Amino acid sequence: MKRFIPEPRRPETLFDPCIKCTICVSACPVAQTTATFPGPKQAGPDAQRFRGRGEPVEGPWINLCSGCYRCQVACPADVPIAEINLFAKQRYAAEKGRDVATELLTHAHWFNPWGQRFHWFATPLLRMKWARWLAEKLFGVDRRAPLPTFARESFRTFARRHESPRAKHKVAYFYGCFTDSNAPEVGRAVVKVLEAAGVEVIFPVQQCCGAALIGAGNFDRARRQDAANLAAFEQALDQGAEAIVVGSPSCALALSHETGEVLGLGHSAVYSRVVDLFTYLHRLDEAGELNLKWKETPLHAAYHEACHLTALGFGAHAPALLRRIPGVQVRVLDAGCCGLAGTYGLKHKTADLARQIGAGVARRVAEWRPDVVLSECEGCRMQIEHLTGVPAKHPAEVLADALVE
Amino acid sequence: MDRFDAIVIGGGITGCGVARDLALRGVGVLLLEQHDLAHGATGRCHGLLHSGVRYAVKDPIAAQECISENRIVRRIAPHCVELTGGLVIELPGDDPAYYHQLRRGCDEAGIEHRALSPADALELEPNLNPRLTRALSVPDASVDPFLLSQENARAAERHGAIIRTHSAVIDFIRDGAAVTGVRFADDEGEHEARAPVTVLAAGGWGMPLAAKAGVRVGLSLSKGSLVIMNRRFCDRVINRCRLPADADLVIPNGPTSIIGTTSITVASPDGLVIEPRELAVLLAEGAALAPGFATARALRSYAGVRPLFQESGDADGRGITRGFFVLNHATRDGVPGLVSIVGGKLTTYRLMAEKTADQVCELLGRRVAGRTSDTPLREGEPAPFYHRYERLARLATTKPGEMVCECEMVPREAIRAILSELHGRPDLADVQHRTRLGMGPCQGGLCSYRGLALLHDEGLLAGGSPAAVITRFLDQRFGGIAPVLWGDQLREEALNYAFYATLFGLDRGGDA
Amino acid sequence: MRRVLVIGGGLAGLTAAIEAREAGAEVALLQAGQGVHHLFSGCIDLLAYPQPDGPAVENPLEAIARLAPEHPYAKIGGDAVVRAMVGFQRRVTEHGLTYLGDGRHQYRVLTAMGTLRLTGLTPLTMAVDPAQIDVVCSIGPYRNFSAGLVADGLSRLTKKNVRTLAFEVAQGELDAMGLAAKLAEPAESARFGDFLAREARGLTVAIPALLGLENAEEQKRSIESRFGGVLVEVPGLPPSIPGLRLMHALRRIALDRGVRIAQNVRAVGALDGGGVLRGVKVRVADLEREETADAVVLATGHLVTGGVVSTRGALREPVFDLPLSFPAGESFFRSRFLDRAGHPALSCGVIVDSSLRPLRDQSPVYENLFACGDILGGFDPYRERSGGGVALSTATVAGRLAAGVAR
Ligand SMILES: Cc1cc2nc3c(=O)[nH]c(=O)nc-3n(C[C@H](O)[C@H](O)[C@H](O)COP(=O)(O)OP(=O)(O)OC[C@H]3O[C@@H](n4cnc5c(N)ncnc54)[C@H](O)[C@@H]3O)c2cc1C
Ligand SMILES: Cc1cc2nc3c(=O)[nH]c(=O)nc-3n(C[C@H](O)[C@H](O)[C@H](O)COP(=O)(O)OP(=O)(O)OC[C@H]3O[C@@H](n4cnc5c(N)ncnc54)[C@H](O)[C@@H]3O)c2cc1C
Ligand code: SF4
Ligand code: SF4
Repeated sequence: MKRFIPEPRRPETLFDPCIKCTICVSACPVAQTTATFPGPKQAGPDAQRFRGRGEPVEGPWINLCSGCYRCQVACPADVPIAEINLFAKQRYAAEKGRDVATELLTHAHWFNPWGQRFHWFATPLLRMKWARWLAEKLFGVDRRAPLPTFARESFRTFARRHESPRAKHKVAYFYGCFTDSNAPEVGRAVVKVLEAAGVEVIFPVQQCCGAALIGAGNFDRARRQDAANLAAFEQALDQGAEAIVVGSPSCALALSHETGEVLGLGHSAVYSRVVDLFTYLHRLDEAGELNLKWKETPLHAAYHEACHLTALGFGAHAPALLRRIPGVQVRVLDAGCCGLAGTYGLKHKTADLARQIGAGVARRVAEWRPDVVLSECEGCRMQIEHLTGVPAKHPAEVLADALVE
Repeated sequence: MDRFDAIVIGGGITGCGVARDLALRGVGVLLLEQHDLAHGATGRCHGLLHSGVRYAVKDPIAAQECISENRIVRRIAPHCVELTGGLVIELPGDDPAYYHQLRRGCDEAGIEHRALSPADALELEPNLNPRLTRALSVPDASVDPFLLSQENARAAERHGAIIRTHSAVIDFIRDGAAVTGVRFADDEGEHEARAPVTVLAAGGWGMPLAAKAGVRVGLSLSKGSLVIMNRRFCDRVINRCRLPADADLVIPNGPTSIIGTTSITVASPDGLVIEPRELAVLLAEGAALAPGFATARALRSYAGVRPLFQESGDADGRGITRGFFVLNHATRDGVPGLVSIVGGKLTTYRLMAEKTADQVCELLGRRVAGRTSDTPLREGEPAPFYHRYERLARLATTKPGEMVCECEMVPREAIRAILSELHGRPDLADVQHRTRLGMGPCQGGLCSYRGLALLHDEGLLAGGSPAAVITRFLDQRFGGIAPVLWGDQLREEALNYAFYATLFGLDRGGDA
Repeated sequence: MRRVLVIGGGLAGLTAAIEAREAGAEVALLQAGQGVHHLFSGCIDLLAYPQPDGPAVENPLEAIARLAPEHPYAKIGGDAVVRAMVGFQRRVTEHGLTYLGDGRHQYRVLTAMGTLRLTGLTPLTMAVDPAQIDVVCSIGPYRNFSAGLVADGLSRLTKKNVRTLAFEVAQGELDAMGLAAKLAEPAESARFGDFLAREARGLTVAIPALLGLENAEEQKRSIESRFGGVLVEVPGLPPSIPGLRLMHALRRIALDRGVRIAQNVRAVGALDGGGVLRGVKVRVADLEREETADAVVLATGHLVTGGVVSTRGALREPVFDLPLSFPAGESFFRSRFLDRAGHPALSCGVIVDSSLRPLRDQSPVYENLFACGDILGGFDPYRERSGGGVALSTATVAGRLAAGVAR
């Protein structure tokens, strides 16, 4: 199916409502950490006012924006600051190109199948000091940054085999690359919880959501991938799926938001149907249809709300649901951004900054000493484990384990 | 400091131009400006470096002057000009015959022009009204009137002239009928300065001043109002293809667009009020040229007066010639030692200055030719560049904590660099005029404090109460915001009021 | 359980959410953006200038008792104000923030302009009589603070010669957030304490409000112990660290109590159930959806945060299109900017009954909608210096009423 692709939103009109209140500045994790980044207000609406067609681009500082959206979320005037920055990154990349690390990391979905096929080799390799040293020198991938492990069996393979029982409700599941190659157990947990809740799950053929590509200003590639995703999931909706449950907040943001607003892929029925797992469960609950039984599960958990989950605008529904499991204690961290932000925490250029940004989260985790940190976002989970040594899980995994079958 | 070869009254572009021209010819000049440079029509004009197309049908001589001066100013003041180019666009309903007259007029005046298809025009300027029927490209440009005035003044100073701002001429010193000098007042009191020739370049303020020397200079004051938008709609100057009328010009100015103007005869150049109906016309006509105007954010509105020379007395503002006149009051009125320069345009300021300086030199008995047409203002020194991406580039070299004005990207160092130019008891407005501090969307919300702090720390407030200085500045700035106070700008001012009243208590004088 | 939806994440919204939750409701708070507490001094103003032309009042509570009936304080009554104040102080104390004041006298707080502001409740870090201050010390350099300017102003006010000092932190080119984070590092705090011990031993030192986001009071004590004097924070232009401290504390309290906070979401209309609200229509960017509830608290602030919006010539409440107390034909602002009489646009707001329910033609628009904070009409928070106090006290009442318990 070929899509009509209109012009994306025009960045030159987006800065008008900015009243220079600086609220975004106090929300930006990067600006608090380094003076080399001018901050969301200056980099976003202020700078955009000075960018002209065909004029030279500004310095590389724009690439220091991690794309966490915290500024945009905080802005009381609806200035899409993070998006302005994305447009600026695209403009910058179009003139100056992208570095190797960015290219490599934003195309992880190309390598993942290989890493996953040769997981017995790839996973240990990515843990070897010399290999990491080499990767840093050659590709700019920070040697201390957290990297995922490759799974024995991809989620995709599981899904191909899996037959979800027919039920009253039906959803399409967008599991995302990480779940596919690196954490299929999360995908299986999501499916298990949904099915227990009386929901049939289907798995449309899907590609990488392109969140990382968009974050690096590589809109063309992302457009191709997401046009295919929209087509596949529109079809799923036609086939009776009532929602598109997305496991990872960043994928959800890309599919529901950036695809239309930033990539300009036109209107799609997909956007408004994208939800995170817990919002979907909350809706079932509000309709009086969530009848899950829990077994006693002693667990002291800290919940970390991923920046991109916040940006989705649903708020975190996970803590309330988790608290229903007898024995589970959940406290919301509310300690800011973990710093990983897609590829930010992986690139050598920004990895240190990412660790500094995550210090607030690390401090609070150290203070609270939970058994586990829960977060829907895989990046956050990797980074928090890396920074604190406390295991991190997707909250769906806790639900799945606590289900009385 | 009280004897000169010539005294120039008025620090608008004309006065500054005259001062430079004379200084280049070795004449010892004192320039006196009552407020800051470009306080008058100069700082409130449209900032269009006319190609002459606007006058090509009605006033061929003005058109010729414009195009030839346009070329000269680009050459001698490249850093004050943005070479935007201009478009003349015809919209449905505009008289189609005008387009052909215009092209003929351009041919006659020697103004390059090129027809563009509507599609090509829209490709160049996507924000234009898509219904445009014809377009012509012309060599209009955008000029920064503040910078151009300051640069002329700086050049004059380099050649020995003395430039005094915040020095208002209050009377002439006479020797019989002859004017032999002036009395002027500044913060410290009254002073006298003498010179064999005094040049009156006080624009719209000229009439009452001339009267003090017993001379009548017939000026008609035509107020023109303009609106500055928060964003730049077009990268080129946009002219409407019709006889000059209200609100038919949109000019890119750095990150903004300026739409103008109206024309209403007024009695005085001070205390100009922008009427709601003027604003309505400006916004409606702006939206006809570029539809985005209708919903976009207006930053402020301002008005200036065109001092149009009028020997006979009546006639409506726009009909009067744009030409200029150098009046030698010795021959004209029997008052030796006084020369007036009236009328004209910013674009032709250099020519006006040259003719005036010729007259002054003749009176002084000096035979030196002017050389401003081929002497760059900077005379080989590197020039600060005037372009919006140059400001943007400052973000790469300025740390967040060093940025004083964030909207217009003015770092602390840029302000330090001009502090030495400030005379008397400087005001924040002086900093504003030289750096654009406070001229962006927040209209001084954040940077007024920082600017004040800088002036204070440099010892430039000289005992004045900081609270009074900033209150005056904010109240003054508000004058231009009040007419466009709705939507985002109302929101902005609500915030600024909360900063300076609620937080700092300046509405109550700050002493609780 | 009764489900309460709070719209707005400012002082009023957070307070209402906490109150409703403590009263037993299930609470969700929706906010389009952050509130103005990011910008304010950190002091909770109660009331300083009830009359445009009148003098400052020294006893806010006494003045509150004498307000005109349309004033929000008058609607809820002085006792409710006291209860809200005490409740607020108790709550934030648990999170390491001490707010001083009993509403019966004003504090005078020095500002970064070198001026004084009157306020009812002040953070411990600002609660020092300005006349005691001996030295003004800058930290940075910080663009929103000039020690010279502050000392100059203070000297004019106290007729005392106030000295200035400058303490440079390692990365002087940072803005407020970065500077505060830097200064909060134990080594940097210690260095600052030692610097003051050399330069200002035993004195009272005013500094920009850049003590840390967390544990500011502890940091203050530890620095003070090094130089044997007193530190005073001076509020100025944003980002406001004291405001952020307060916001973090209130969020922490709300989250710990189980309030769900959804950000980046804007309420755009009513789900009208005929005289009652079923909930609200909300929007995230261009995507619209519904949030249902049994009661709704409107705490959307004023012009700055979008609780009131304007077009040429008209002001509007954008969520429910509630009538505003703005006289038709009035201009938004007076002709002078820093007019001590304030500006008409800033004093307009939603008209409510004594249960804080917005009214149209004298009757409640929805029986389960309650308004609080800046969105209320009948007062001018900016001119009167009553914003914080009205937000806290009306929100306390609105939160409880929404939860279905007595005020
Ligand atoms: C609305 C408008 C738009 C315009 N747009 C354009 C345009 O786009 N392009 C263009 O080329 N031209 C334009 N013009 C024309 C142009 O602005 C003027 O021709 C030009 O600026 C006049 O400069 P000036 O120095 O003669 O007068 P002014 O700039 O008015 O200068 C006179 C100066 O004298 C000072 N002064 C007065 N009295 C005293 C005193 N007693 N003592 C000391 N100083 C005194 C004043 O403070 C003032 O600074 C426009 C004019 C108007 C009104
Ligand atoms: C610069 C400044 C300084 C001040 N200084 C002081 C001071 O020192 N002391 C003092 O006591 N008072 C001060 N005030 C006043 C005081 O801060 C306010 O009165 C008070 O904070 C108002 O709180 P609020 O919760 O009603 O509104 P706000 O803080 O404005 O919060 C409104 C909230 O509603 C959200 N919102 C708006 N519309 C929607 C919608 N449609 N859907 C969802 N969410 C929405 C906003 O994003 C925001 O989160 C100051 C005010 C300003 C602006
Ligand atoms: S928060 Fe929004 S309005 Fe405020 S400065 Fe940032 S972009 Fe501008
Ligand atoms: S998206 Fe995140 S990193 Fe980028 S400017 Fe906004 S807050 Fe800062």
